[in-house]
Amino acid sequence: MSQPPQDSTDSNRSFSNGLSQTITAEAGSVSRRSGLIAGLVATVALLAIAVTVGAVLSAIGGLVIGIAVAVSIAATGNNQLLGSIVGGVGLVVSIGVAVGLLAYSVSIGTQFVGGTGFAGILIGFGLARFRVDALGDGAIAQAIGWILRATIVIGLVALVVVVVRFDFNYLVTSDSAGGITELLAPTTETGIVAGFVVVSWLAFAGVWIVMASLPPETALPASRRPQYLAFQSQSVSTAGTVFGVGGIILAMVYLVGLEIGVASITSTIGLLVESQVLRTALVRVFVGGLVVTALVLGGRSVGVAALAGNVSWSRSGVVAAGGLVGVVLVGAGPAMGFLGSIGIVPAALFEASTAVVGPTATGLGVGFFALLAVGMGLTVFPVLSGLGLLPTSTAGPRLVVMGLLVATIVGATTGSSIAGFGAAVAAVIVWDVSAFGIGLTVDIGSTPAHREGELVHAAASLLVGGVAFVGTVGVYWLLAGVSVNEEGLLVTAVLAVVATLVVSTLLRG
Amino acid sequence: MFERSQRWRVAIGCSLVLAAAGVWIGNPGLLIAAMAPIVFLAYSSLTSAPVVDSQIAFERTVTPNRTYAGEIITVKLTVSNHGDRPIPDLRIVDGVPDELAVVDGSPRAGLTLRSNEQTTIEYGLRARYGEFDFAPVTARTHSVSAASTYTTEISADGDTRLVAMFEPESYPLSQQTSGISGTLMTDRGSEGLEFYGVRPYQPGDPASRINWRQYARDRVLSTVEYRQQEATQVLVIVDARPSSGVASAETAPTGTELCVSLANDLVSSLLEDRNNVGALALGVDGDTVDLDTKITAESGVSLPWVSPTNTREARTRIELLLDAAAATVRPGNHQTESDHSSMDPEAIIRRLSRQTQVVFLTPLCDGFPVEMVEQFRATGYTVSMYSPDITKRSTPGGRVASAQRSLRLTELRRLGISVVNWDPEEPLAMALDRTQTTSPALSQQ
Repeated sequence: MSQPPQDSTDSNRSFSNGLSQTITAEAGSVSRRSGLIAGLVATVALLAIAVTVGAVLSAIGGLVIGIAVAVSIAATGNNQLLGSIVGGVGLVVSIGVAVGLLAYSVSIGTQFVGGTGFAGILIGFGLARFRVDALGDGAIAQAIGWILRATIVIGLVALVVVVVRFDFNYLVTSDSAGGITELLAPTTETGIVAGFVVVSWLAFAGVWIVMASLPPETALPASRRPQYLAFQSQSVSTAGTVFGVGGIILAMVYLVGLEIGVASITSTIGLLVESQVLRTALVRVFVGGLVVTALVLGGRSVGVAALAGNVSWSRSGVVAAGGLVGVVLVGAGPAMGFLGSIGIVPAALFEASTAVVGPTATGLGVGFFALLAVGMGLTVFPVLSGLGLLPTSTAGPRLVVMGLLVATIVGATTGSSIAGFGAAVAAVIVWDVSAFGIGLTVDIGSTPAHREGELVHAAASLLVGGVAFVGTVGVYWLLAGVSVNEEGLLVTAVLAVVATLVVSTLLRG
Repeated sequence: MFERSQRWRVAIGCSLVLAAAGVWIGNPGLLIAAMAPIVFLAYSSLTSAPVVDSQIAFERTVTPNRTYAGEIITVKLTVSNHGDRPIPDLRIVDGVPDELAVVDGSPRAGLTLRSNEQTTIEYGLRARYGEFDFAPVTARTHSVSAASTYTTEISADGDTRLVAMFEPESYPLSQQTSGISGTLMTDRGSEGLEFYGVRPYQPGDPASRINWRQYARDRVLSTVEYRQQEATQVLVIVDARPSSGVASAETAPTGTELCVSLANDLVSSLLEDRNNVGALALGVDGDTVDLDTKITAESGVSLPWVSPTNTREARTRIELLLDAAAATVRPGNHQTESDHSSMDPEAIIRRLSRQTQVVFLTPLCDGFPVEMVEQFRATGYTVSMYSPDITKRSTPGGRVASAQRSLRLTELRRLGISVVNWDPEEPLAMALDRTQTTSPALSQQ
């Protein structure tokens, strides 16, 4: 149907505030009445299954999590604080809780609880998609983008913590360290002197390479170039003096004192030259310099505009990502314990990692890989959309239908076939009513005062659904009363389904 | 036209998924559950969308169906079901002309109509210059299952055309103006209604104005004076240059249309108050308008103009001029760029008397109006300005244009010009109230 032009004031009238404007879906939005009826049917069907199998909390939790995930994804499209805090952090937390719920259910051997929770998540997400822009129009891409940015921040922090907290003693005591053992823990006098000079110059090299990798002064405003050049020059000369020249002088004095037998020299300067802590610190400076250099070069290749161009990311995004880092740092221990206890990740891996880089870096590493997994996991939606299984225009109803099919399978496999039939019928009713609502919105928009057709259609759909439910229950009782073995029953039922499909297709012309 | 929806493919998919899961798991319950969606398939095959061409009728009223560009009009579309059967799902879209914007309500509706029932939908349009024909109403019905769709177009009875043009013959003046005295106040005592003062009697003063009370008390003759109410002369300048013929959206009125609409209201009001009113349109070629008066500058550019007066003929001539100004931005019309900025205000000033006030209507899309006002001001004329704001701040370019316009407004106010900055989304009265609060000079005019 042709769409008459609308003023912007007209299209904006139904939105009450900035939040709803930000996350409200345009494509695939189900009209209010149809959405309400479909949501009610889906929720009742899910709860019926949940009550039957004894997983009410899991179902309700799944619904809440699904809605939270959808709202979070939709909110990440906002370029202000809302996008970073509500969207990004909310997404990470809600997906974390969802994965935790499912993993816990599987770990304790109650797959039906996990299945009900999964159905709830799908239904909650789909129902929320009726109104919010959680799928399509780039919403998933924006969410993935936010997740990847946070992943980069956590990865960088983890890298820095690894450099700072890396236990070189582990290398010294292990056989795999090779020549570095003699540098950190020398066993000969030559090794002490030469090794100290080497690690001192390594530290100097660390500082020098960082300064050499910094952007040229032309990247700065002309007024700041002199200070910038002076800073670079002074940093290199100071490092050269302290680490380079200082290291050689200390080593020479130590060597002379050792040769001529001056006890006061060996007892004072020797503490520095022989100190494994100092050597380790100097090596850390070198490694840190390499890491910073890699980051600087990476940043330069990406470009300043890409790094600082997005206002939301450079302000609220950094705040949110920083908070996320804090959450990871605090929650790393319990999370690792949980993951280890349910056996998803081998506990030995955690122990080894903790021994080498400490629990903080290990926790950050876990956070890094978890976020990466979340980001990659979200790519399933664009893939499904590309395959035509989850088109933007009907994504919400299709997700609810998927959830109800999962609930049907859960019900049938736990011996609750009647509730399963209800869920199957509900899936079709939800699809019928919500697809009708979408079509109505496409045809006449969301502003008209007259939308009477929805109730008539929904009533008819519910009536046919009732007939279908009674029919399936009747067939179930009929077949249950027939004394055939299970294989015979299966064959009979398969043939019945195929026959009905063929007849229906023929009837539809 | 009948169409069959593919929406039930999902139901077939549900059935296959459940059947496959049942076979995979070896669960008969799932196979039986797979039959549930098939019931819906059968239901959808049994229903069909009703054909409603002869069953429903539409009647449209457009109020007013003759108006001016920029005005809001109300459209009511009544749909009646004359058939014996109810229509469970009827979706209609009125054939709104593409050039017009819907500013209130919606021309679309989803209806359920019982037999012999009728419903009316109402919406508002913003008129643009020209004549616009409404297309037939598009109607779509669905079967109860929504699997079958029938779409058709049905012509509506009643109003099918909107005319938004100045047609003097279609708008007769409500009254014949006398042209003797107006309502703008002067600071001189004379004949009138409002008390002004008392002066010594002079021979020849009418006996009716002698202050008899004072004579009875003091035995001195004096004459009562009343504040003189006299007609003033106003020249309304409408900026219809190409730079004003732009709009904030495709279907929004252009600056020229808003200025013309504003000028029409202003001229009517001034004429009804018995003032002498003239008009001048910038951006209109004087040779293309059926007016025998025009101003020609040394550069050869000629502008149509109506000298200030208060006659029925003047009103008609002003409407012709406004019509020509509005026609420059008729949808589909491409106004040729001409160098009206070379028009020297001196050529206009030479035609005006010293008492003439200038009212300039312009969206201020460039700096020419400011330069023109400066010259009027420098030669001692009182100038006021009405400026519709057509800048769009949602785009970077729009924000730049808005900032430039704000600078021009500031410059005008610095010159002492009273400027009414009007946002077309709000009533003009609000902008006038706001301006009069901040600019006492305007309220005195």
